[in-house]
Parts: sequence; structure tokens; C-alpha cells
Amino acid sequence: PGSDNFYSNQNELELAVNDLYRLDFWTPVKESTGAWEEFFSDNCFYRGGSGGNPVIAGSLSSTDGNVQTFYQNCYKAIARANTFLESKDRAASNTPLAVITRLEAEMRLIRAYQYTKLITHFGDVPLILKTQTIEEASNVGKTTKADIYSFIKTEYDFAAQNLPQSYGAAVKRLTKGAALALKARTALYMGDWETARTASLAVMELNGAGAYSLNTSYAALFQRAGEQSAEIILSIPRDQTQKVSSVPDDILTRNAGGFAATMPTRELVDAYECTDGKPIDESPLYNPLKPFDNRDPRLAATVVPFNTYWLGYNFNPHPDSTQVWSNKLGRKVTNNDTRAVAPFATFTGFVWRKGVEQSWSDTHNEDNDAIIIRFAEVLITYAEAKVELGQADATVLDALNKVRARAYGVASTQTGSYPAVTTLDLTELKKVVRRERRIEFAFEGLRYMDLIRWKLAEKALTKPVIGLPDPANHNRAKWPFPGVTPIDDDGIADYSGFGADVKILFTRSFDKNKQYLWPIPAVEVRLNPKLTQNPNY
Amino acid sequence: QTRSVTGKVIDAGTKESLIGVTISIPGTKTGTTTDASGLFSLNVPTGTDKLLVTYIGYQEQMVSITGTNLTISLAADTKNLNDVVVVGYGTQKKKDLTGAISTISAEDITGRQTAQISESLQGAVPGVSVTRSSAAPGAGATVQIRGVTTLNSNAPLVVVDGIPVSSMDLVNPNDVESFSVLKDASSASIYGSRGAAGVILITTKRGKNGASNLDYNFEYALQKPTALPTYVNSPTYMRYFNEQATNDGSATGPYANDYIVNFDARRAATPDLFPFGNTDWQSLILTRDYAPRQEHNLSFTSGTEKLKTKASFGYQDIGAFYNNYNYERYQFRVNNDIKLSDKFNANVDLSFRRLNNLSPVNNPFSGQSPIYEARLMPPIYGATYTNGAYAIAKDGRNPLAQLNEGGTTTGASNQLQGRLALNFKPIKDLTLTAQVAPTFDFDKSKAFSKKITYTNADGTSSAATNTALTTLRESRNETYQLNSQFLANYTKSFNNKHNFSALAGFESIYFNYETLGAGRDGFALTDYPYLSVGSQLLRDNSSDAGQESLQSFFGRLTYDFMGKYYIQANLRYDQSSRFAPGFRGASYPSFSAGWSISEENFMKNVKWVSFLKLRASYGGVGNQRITNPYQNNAQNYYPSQASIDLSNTALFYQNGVLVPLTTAAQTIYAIRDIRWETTKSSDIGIDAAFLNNRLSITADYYKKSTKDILLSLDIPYNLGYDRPTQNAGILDVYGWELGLNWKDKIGDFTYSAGFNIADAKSKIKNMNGTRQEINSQQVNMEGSQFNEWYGYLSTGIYQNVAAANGAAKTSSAITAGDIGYVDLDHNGIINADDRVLLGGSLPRYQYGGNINIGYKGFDFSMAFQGVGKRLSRLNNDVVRPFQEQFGNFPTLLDGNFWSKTNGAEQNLAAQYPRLSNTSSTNNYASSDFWLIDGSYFRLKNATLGYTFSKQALLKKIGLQSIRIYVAANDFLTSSKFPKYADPESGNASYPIVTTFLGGVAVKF
Repeated sequence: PGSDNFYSNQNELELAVNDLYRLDFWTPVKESTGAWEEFFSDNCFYRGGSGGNPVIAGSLSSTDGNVQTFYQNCYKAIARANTFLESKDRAASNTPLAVITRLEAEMRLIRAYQYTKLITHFGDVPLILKTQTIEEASNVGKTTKADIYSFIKTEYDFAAQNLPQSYGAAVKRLTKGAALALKARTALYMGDWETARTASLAVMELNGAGAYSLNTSYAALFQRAGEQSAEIILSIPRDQTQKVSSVPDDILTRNAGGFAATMPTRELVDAYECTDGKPIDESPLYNPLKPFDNRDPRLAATVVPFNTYWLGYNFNPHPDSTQVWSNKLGRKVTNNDTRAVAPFATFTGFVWRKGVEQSWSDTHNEDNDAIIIRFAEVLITYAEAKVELGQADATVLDALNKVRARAYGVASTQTGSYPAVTTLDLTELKKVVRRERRIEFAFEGLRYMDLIRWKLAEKALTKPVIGLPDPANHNRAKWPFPGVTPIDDDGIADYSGFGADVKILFTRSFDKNKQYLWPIPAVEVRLNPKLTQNPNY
Repeated sequence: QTRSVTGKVIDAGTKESLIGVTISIPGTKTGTTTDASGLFSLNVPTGTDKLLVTYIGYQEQMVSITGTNLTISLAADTKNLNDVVVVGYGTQKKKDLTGAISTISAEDITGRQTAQISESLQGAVPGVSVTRSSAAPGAGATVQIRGVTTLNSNAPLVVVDGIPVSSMDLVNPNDVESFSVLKDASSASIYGSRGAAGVILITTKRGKNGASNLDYNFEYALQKPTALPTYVNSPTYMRYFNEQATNDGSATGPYANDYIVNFDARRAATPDLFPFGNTDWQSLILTRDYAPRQEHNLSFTSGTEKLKTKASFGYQDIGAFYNNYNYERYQFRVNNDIKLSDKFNANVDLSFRRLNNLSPVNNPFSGQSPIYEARLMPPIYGATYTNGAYAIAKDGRNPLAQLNEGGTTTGASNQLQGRLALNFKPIKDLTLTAQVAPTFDFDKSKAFSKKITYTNADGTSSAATNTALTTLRESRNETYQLNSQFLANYTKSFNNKHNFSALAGFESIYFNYETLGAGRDGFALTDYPYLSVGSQLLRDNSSDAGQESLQSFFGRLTYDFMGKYYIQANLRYDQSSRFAPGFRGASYPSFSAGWSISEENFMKNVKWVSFLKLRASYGGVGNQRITNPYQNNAQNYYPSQASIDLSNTALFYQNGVLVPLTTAAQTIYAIRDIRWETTKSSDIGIDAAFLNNRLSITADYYKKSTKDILLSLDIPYNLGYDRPTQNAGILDVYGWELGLNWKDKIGDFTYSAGFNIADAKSKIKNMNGTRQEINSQQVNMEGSQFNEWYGYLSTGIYQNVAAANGAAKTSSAITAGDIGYVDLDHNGIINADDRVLLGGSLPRYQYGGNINIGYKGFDFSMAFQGVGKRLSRLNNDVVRPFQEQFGNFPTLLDGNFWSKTNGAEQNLAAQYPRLSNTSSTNNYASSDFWLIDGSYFRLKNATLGYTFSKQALLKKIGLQSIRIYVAANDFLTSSKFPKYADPESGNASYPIVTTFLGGVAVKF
């Protein structure tokens, strides 16, 4: 079919909207190629990739392929939404107005989210709201980030007003909750605390069908078992039989047939509180020789603890554990998860557990749904917005404690069973909120934007990536860690005091003079004289 | 006073008598012809000491009368046949040509002993550029006529016996009777919208009136790589890998020092343990030092007045250096000429071709060939354990296991082509021809990618596999093309002075295709490559179709006055279904003129000039080949339509159950008014022959200007669409060609030598303000040459940190040992704006030549070819370390790169930058740092043959003649490339080969 006569009935309108539900348009979602934003943060270290990792190496340039794809996909979605919006009335004679309005709301929400991605990464960008000719597209100037933001707020509002809260027995599409939650995230990234507060509160106050609640189990939420959870506000389904899947080998241990190339950092592991609610450098419960003991349960749900069974093998990167027991094979096997045996076993000593299914080691196929936004984020967004507004109150504590209690598998009212937050001190709460965001959403791709908006990237991303010492040099008495890591008020760990008891894996050098904004792709600047490049690229 | 001279005329080769040979007295009309026994008798005046002997198809001979009973041997002359040159929709005498047309004899094509016709053209014709990047079984070469014409596809139109075909390599070289290259607009414009990149006309051999012949030819060849890259050994690899890791900010590299310094001892103790392999993957994969190639050709010719038939059968089988790679070709052709009456005759041709291709499936990790894998994989991985089983190698990526156990792709393509032409001569000078030629293609392929389960060194099963699932992909494609023509040819001569000819024609081409693909994943058994065996869950299928048509009217008028002054005009009007109504039609006129100076009276006395002619032409040709860059550059038959793509799937939940829903989007921007690309070309040329035709020269100068080039220009991303093909800009090409030939005979010793050289230079005059970048290396932009190198100007390698820090850089990560660049805009940053044009990437001053010598039964020929000037970049597999972040380390770099462990002097001499993944984007960016002199000279072919024609012995065993020959192809090359690299080879491509061959040709 051709575009001249398309969009002429409900079916065709729906086909056009369906297209924008594909993963391409919902970045950042988990990827294995090195382009995922978690790799740009201090939570994760990916040792592969041609040209390394330009964001943490400080070599980000206007010809960067990932930046280009990100930019391009945003505008593809925008163009398709614009075409739809201009053409949808062709179907007016044979399609109920309510349906057209709902589809319009979906499209406007998707378009608004593209602009959220664009302004948070690039700052000022062209605001395109209609179909263009090549000439028009070559002469369009930038609109300020602030103007775009105020426009998309109204778009999110339109979507929230015109999308249903749930779809009942019909096909589940974008909801009112999704519109509000994405609006809250956008406002948070923009530092518009009042809007972040009201939008997140609106999600929290939804009731009836389509209201959200936290999943009982934190660990199960990210697995297939959690795909239908009431915590998930928006997810993009994936399924191998529908050819929507990826290869998870970089995440899997080498014993399980993976590469262990995508690793949790030591900084992330050290960020989890002890069960007393204190950071490791303050808690008496912390023992660097047993770093997984007495820790927030989300640590063991996110990072595989040493000496536990994982994917059919005892996971133990200790340099003397050259053999380990496999509970899958029922015998001892050569331990490819220690660098004493396999030089490319995990460099940091850690491997990811969050969201990983046992079956992946057999199928080498990852098709769990990609979660775009979930209820816990709305709760912590609410808390952060309130704290930033200087409104420390019980609702803040309640939002935070719901998330923390769920991690311990208890109700937030059972304050004796988990380290509930009780302080109303704004400085202290701000630290708690930021720590909570980091660990709750570890390996979900949110940390990089947090470092950017908190202006902490220049600090966190100029510290080296730390790994276990080489097997020959590892002081066995200091296995695994030589001491308690000092952590500063921004939550940034400092390993400089450990000398050769830790190994520097990579020297990060985020360039604060330019990298708080991404470069506009070089091609785009070249083709359009009205587009100015972001500073210092 | 007269005397009687008698004699007999025989064929110099077969020694058979020739009937109907004309014997005449030079300068007079007196003469006779030989009778059924080849005998003649003629009364000649006293004082006449020579006779002129002429016979169609044989060399004209002046015979001295040395007695009264002569035996005259006439040598067959293919040159005489070539005196008639095949031109668009007809023929012309070579001396009457006014356009730039080159011909190649059938001998020159088969004499090169190449597997494909396209290869045999390399260096054979001035202005025809032939490039290749591999000599893989079945691979052809890229042929361009007069450089580039368009930024799109520069492949010439190939017409075989009047039928356009997709590739000249579909024709059996042994079937070729004549081969014409139409180079300028005046000769190609009769092909209108398809002639822009030049036209190649091939006619196939037909039956002849007379004796029946059976020819058999067998040829066997061995091929060996001209050059293979080499890589460092395991300890050196690990040392350099560690150096890169520390350069990139790691405290130590991943390989323990103990592994490196005690490598031999540790390898001896634990050879099965990574990283103590020491594997030369290339020699493991390339199991054959010599790849075999064999050919059988059989042809049968017979003819009577009423029916002439030629039938041929060709078989070709080409093996490779590694297993599971083979190419097989069967070609069958029957050409019939039927004389129905004096006014009617018909041509009925049928040809069938089948190709069988076998190749390994691409590696599931990389999607690449065994050659790529063998060059990438470092030696530290073992291929097999000491117990003989396949090792896991790199996490299941074992190139050897993959090649032998990973499955194959088998393809078979069949083409059936028929041609029926009816010629009607209602009056003496008029011929009407109606021709219809259908072509059917039936292709199928089956790619079975098999999962390999590995064991550990101790024999226990391993978790590592080459791929998660065994998969099968099958395809069945069909195409149909119908070519219909109606031609009227009229020739008339008045008073032997005014010669006219006219051609009018109509042609219609209709083409359609339909593809079908099906696949399943998850085969429990790896021995049954049939879809039913695969998993029911992981099924996939697809189909696609398209069609196109072209309708054309065309005509040609020629006139000459006494063979001195020539003029010619052509016109073609085409309508193509590819364009929107209103943009479909286009007409292409051309004009040419010639002046045969040597026919002028004032030249008659200049004895040393045998022939001299000036030519000039001007005309237009077009191009409609629009490809889709997002679909492997497949032809786009509907470029003007904004088509909605329905192919994707989005997933949703309904009541908790996954539902896949179809999606729709326009992905590519549509240009509604897209139209023909037009090339205007002018040519002036000279054809000359001197010294009794022994020396001949052809020279041409031309200019081509192409406007409305069909091209996928960069468009702004904010438009939200992928790049469409647009009518963009103007490309100018200037060039010249020179061909020299010397031919002589001294007694039994015949020899000839030829040389040709050509050059073309392109310049893009206009690109609608935008440009096209190719792989971030080359560019097409206003002011550039076609595909000109584009990048930074390097300042060399930074010798120390201070030097790096003091300069403008691509990023703050750049330091000592990295390559520095000139900050052209002085803004303190090296970015895309600092790039400049670095020089043309296309070969210049392409030359070629040949020498042929014959003495009695011996024949010897030699051909060479070369490129006088070219800027090249060494392939990554020779010059770039650690590809895919773990790959091999080329020997070329060993000790030649900047290193912090070197002394300052050593670093000053370093040719290559430091080892760094972080800086690789900077260091391997396109810049003049990496460009080298890519000129080369190559001996293409040397052939030595001997023909046995001792009649008595041969006759006894029923043979007319036997020729045996040996030859070598591509056996000597001179270039500035390192010895590891062939100047023509592509990156990680199958090697270019030296071929040694021998053959025997038997005539029954």
C-alpha cells in the first residue's frame, strides 16, 4: 500500500500506531551491543566494543554511531506520529471518534517521549510537529529545551486525559498511568520538581482496574514470572518465537557458556546498604572478607554472591578455586569463572543476576519483556521531587519505605523487619533517595541519566573501574576485598587507598566540558546550516 | 600472350580442398574459381607473376607464380569475420564505424584461459576497466566502461544475441563468436535508457555451411594464492594484547606474564589449556595448497544450405582451498539457422545453464566466511585437543569445526532461454525481423546452519556451542523476462557513391520476479536438512514480488559518400514503468561523423599510411537503475511511490496472552517526480593503420556529463525517513584511450603485439548541496572525484604526551602514540569539519598488452595488465590489530608500531600508531596516514601451445588436429604492497590466485 490512501480505516490507523510499539523507539532498553546507557554509568563495566566505551573514555564524538542511531530513531518515531496525526481524519467517516482520539493520544504520548529522550540527551533540538519536505528539514533550527519541555507537558496531559487506565479484555496498549509516569520521569530529569511531584502522585492515586502496586518479589519482577505484574506501568513484550529477542551471552558466566563481558562494578556492589540501613563504611555489620553478608537483599538479587550456585555451577572467582562443583552436571568441573583458569573470566569478579533466567545458559536467548517504567520509579520520583521541594513529610517516607520493605519481602508497616527510613532531615533524605534510586534500578539503564542530571558524572565517571587483582598478585588473606571502601556524601566510592590490593581495569575520563550533552550527529549538522553543534564537539 | 596456370587450393589447417575460391589477376577483372575438387585453371598474360587468392573466411593471399601447377594453402582468417562489427541491432563494417566501438576476438577471450569471461577482459580493451577483489570459485569481476558514469551502478548493459542479460559470465567463453564494446553515446544511444554505462554485445557461434565438425576441449588447472597475510605467534600476541590493555588504562593485561615468558614450557605441559594453543588457523583452514579447476567443452557444428546447427556443451568444476566450497556450471546451447525460402529465414536458439554452488554457512558469531575467521582468530586458541576432538577455541567459535561441521549452503540456479527470430526480405534491400525471446530463471538455495556441541579437553561435554540452534533457511525464486523486438533494416547504394542505410525498431521488455523463503530453527537432528524436522515453534516464511517493463522505439540512419565521408544519427524513445506517469518517457538522440582521410586522392600516394580515419560523435544515453540501499542494493522497481512497509511485528498482551500485531510505516521518503538519469557524451577518435596494415592505432578522447544522477543522498535525520534515491547533481568524466597493435609475418613466423592504455578522471560538479559518504572513508560531494578518499590530514604520530596535549585532538583520550591531525578550521577541536578530499580512489592509467607468436605448430601468447596510479588503503586483515577486540596481530605491524616500551628513536621510526582500543576511532579514521601507492603491474597470462597436424597419423585415428597447451595466469606481480597483500584483494576475501593449467583441444 502507498501513503496516499493509507490511514483510511480503523485497521490501518491501528497498524500505524502498532509500529511505534517496537523496541527501537523505546531506548534506553537493555542491549548487548555496548550502546545501553547502563554501560555509560558507574554501575556496569562492559569490556567489549570497538573503540571501547566513548562516554566513559572521554572520546565521545559527533560521528559516534550509537548517538546517531539514538537521534535517528527518535525522529523516525516523531515523523511517523506526525504523519499519522495529519492523516488520521481520513478514517473519520468509518471509525468511532473515541477510537481515533485514543489512537491520537497514543501517538502524541509516543512523540512526547521521543522529545523527552532528545532534550535530556542533546539539550536544544529541532521541534518537528508536522511532516516536512527535505528542504524544510534542511533548514529547521533548534527549539530550546525549555520550550520543548513545556510543549510536551501538555502532550503528556492530553494522553493522560484520553487514554484508558486499563484495557480489560482488549489488547493492552498505552495507558493513562504510562502517560503520567513518563511525564513524571521527564519532569524529574528537567528538575521541574512540582510537576514531577504532581504527576507521580497522580499515578500513586490511581485506583480500580489499572492501579499499580509493587510486585511482592523484587527478584521475580525482572523474570518471565513478573511480566504481568501490577508494578509494570509500561513494558515492551519480547518473545523468541516472534523473533523479538537478543543474545545474553555477555551477561552469563563463562562456566555457563557465556562471556562475562558485561560486569557489575565494585562501586555498585559497595553502594548497597547493610541490613541496618547504613552504608558499608558506617555499618558494623559489614565485613570486606564476606561482602555479601548482612546486605540489602537487592544485592544478592542483582549480583551473584560468591560461592552460590548460579546457572548450574558454584560461582566462585577465587584464584585458588580452579575447580568448582556443578549442580547441573553433578560433578566437579574446571572453573572458568576464575581468572586463574580463564584470563577473560569476569574482571571485576562480579556477574549480573538481575533478570537473568536459568534457561538462558541453554537457549542463549533473552526474551524477557523490556520494562520501560515501573511503579517503584514513580514512588522514588515522588520522594525525590518532594525532598527537592523541601517538603520532607510522611508521604515521602511512605513512598521510600514501600520500595525498601518490598526488597525485604515485608510490608512497609513491619518496620522491625527492614531498615525503614525515618529521618526527615532533607540532606540525609536526599542521600537516601539517591542511593535508593541507584540500587533499586541497578541494571535498568537509569543510572547514567541520574549522574548527568545530578552533575555527578564528572566525579563518578573520572574514577577508575576497579577489579580483583591478578590471580598471581592477589593477597589471599584479603580475599575478596582488602578493606572497607570509603564512600563520600555523593555516594561515590574511593579505592585509591588500596594500592595493589585492587586492580585498575579501566581509567574513566568523562569530559565535563562537553559530555553533559551528547553531540548532534555530524551528518545532521552538515546537512542543516541552522543546527549548531553542542559545545566542544 | 598468355599461359595457363593450374593449381589446387587447400585449407592450411585441415589440408582439405576448398571449393569456390576466387583466383584473380591483380588489378584486373580476370579470374576464376576452384571447382568441387579445389582445382582451378587460369590463363594469365605474360609478365604477370602473381595471383590474388581470395575466399570468404580466409586470409587474402598474393601468390607468386612459381611453376604451372600450384598448391596454395589458405589460412582461415577470423579477422576477416571481425571486419563486420556487431553494433546495436545490426552490424557494420569496421571501416565504416563512426562511434567508439572496440572488439575483442573470440581467441582473445578463450586464450586467457579464465573461468569467467569478465576476468579475461582485464587489460584487453582500452577504456574497459576490470577489477576484482577475490578469485573465489564462481566469482566474476567488475567491468566498467570508460570509468564511472553515474554514482549508482556502473555495470554496462550486456546483450547476448540481441537479448539483454544480467551478466556476461552467464555465457560460455567458448561459445563467443564476437564481442563488441560500445563505448560512446553514438554507438550506445540506440540502447537509450540502459546505455549510460556502455554496452557489451556478444554474439554466439553459429553453424556454417559445409563440413561437420566435432570439437572437444579439456582443461585442468591448479590455483594457488598470490599472497596471504601472516600473523604473530602466541607469546607475541599476548604481550601486545597486554600492552593494549595497559594503554587503555588497565593496570595489567589479562594474560599473566608467566604465560608469555614460559609459553613453550606451559604449552608442552598443558597444550589443551587456553591460552596455550599455537594455531596457524589459516593453514588449518586452507587445507589445499592448490585449488583444482577443470573444464570440458564439446561442440558440434553442421550445416547445409537449408539448416545450420551448432550445439555446444560446457562443464566447469572449480574447487577451493578449503572444504565445502565448490562451483559447478553446466552450459548447453543450440543455435539453428533455418532457410525457409529466398525471402524467409529463421533463427531458433535455445540455451540452458545450471549452476551448483556449495559453500560453508557463514559463521554464526560473525556472519563471515572461513577466510575471515581464519585470519581473525589468534593463535592462542587451540583448534583440536591432543585427543583429536575439536576444541572449544574461543568460546565455541572454532573456525575449523565451523567449516567442517557447521553446515553448508547449497544453491542451484537454472536459466532457460529461447530465441526465435524470423527474417523476411520482401525486397532486395530490406530485411524485416521479428524476434521473441523469453528467459526463465528458477533458483533455489538451502542454508543449513548446524549446532556444534563441543567437549572439554577431558572429554566431558561442554556448555559451549557455535550457535544456540540448528537452523534451516530455504528459498525458491523465479524470474521471467520477455524480450520482443521488431526491426526493419534497409540499405541502398546509388552509383556506388551514395550509401544509405536505415533501421527502425520497436522493443518491449517485461520482467517479473517472485521469491519465496521459508525457515525453521531448532532442529533436534543435524543430519536432515528438511523443514519438517525443525521446531514447530520457530518457523518463519516470507515472499515478495515485483515487476517492471520498458517499451521503446528506435531508429538509425547512416550515409556515406564513397566510403570517405560518413554521417550517422540514432534516436531512441524509452518508456519505463519505474517512474510515475508523466515522468516515464525519455528520448536519446545521437550523431556521429567520420572522415576516411586515407581514401582521399591526396593520400593515395602515401604508401606507409594504409588507413586513416577521424571520427566524432555526440549523444545522450540514460540510466534507470535505482537500487534500495536498505535491501542489499536490490533494484527498486517502485521508487516514486511512498510505499507503506507492513513487514514488522509488534507484540502486545491481551488478557495476559502475547499477541503479535502487524505494523505499518512508511520508512523511506518518496520522491514523486524522480526521473531518468541522463548522460551526454562526446567523443573524438582516430583509427589508423600503417606499414601495410602491420601497425594499427586507435585513439579516443571523450567527455561525459551525467545529470540527474540517481543517488541515495544523505537527508536530515529530523525528516524521520531513510534515504530515498533522488535525482542529484552532475558528474563529469574526462578520459582518453590509446590502443596500439603490431602484426607481422616472416615466413612461418607470425607475431603480433598489442598495448593499450586509458585514463578517466571524474569530477562531481553539483550534488544539490549535499553529499554521500561511503563507509566514512570516501565521499561523493561537489568538487570531489567519484568515491574520492575523504578524511583528515595527519600530522604523524604524537611522539610524546606534551605534543599530544598541545594539539587540537578528536577527544581528550588522545595521547602519545596516537595519530594527530591538522585542525583546518582552527577551532581547537578535530571533528568532522576538519576533513578534506585526499585524492581519488579509482585506478588511473590502466594499461594492458599482449604478445602472440606463432611458428609452424607452436603458438605462444602472453598478456599483462596494470594500474599506473592509484591511492589505496591496506585492508584491515593486513594492517589492523585486534579486530573484534580480540583478533589476530598482523606480522606487518610487529615491531613497527609506536610503543611506550620503545626508545625515542625507535618510536620516531614507527610506522603505525600505538595499540589502543579507546583511540582506535581516532587512529583508524580515514586520513592520508593510511593511504599508499596502489599501482601495480601484473603478468596476466602466458600460454604455450602446439598443434599436431601430421595428417597421416591423425587421420588413422580419425582426428583432424590436436592442440595441447600449458598456461599460467597471474603469476608475477610488481607493486608497493607488502608481500602479505595482493594489490587487488579485498579485505578478508578469498585470495587472488595464480593459476597453472594445461589443456588439450581435439578436432574430429
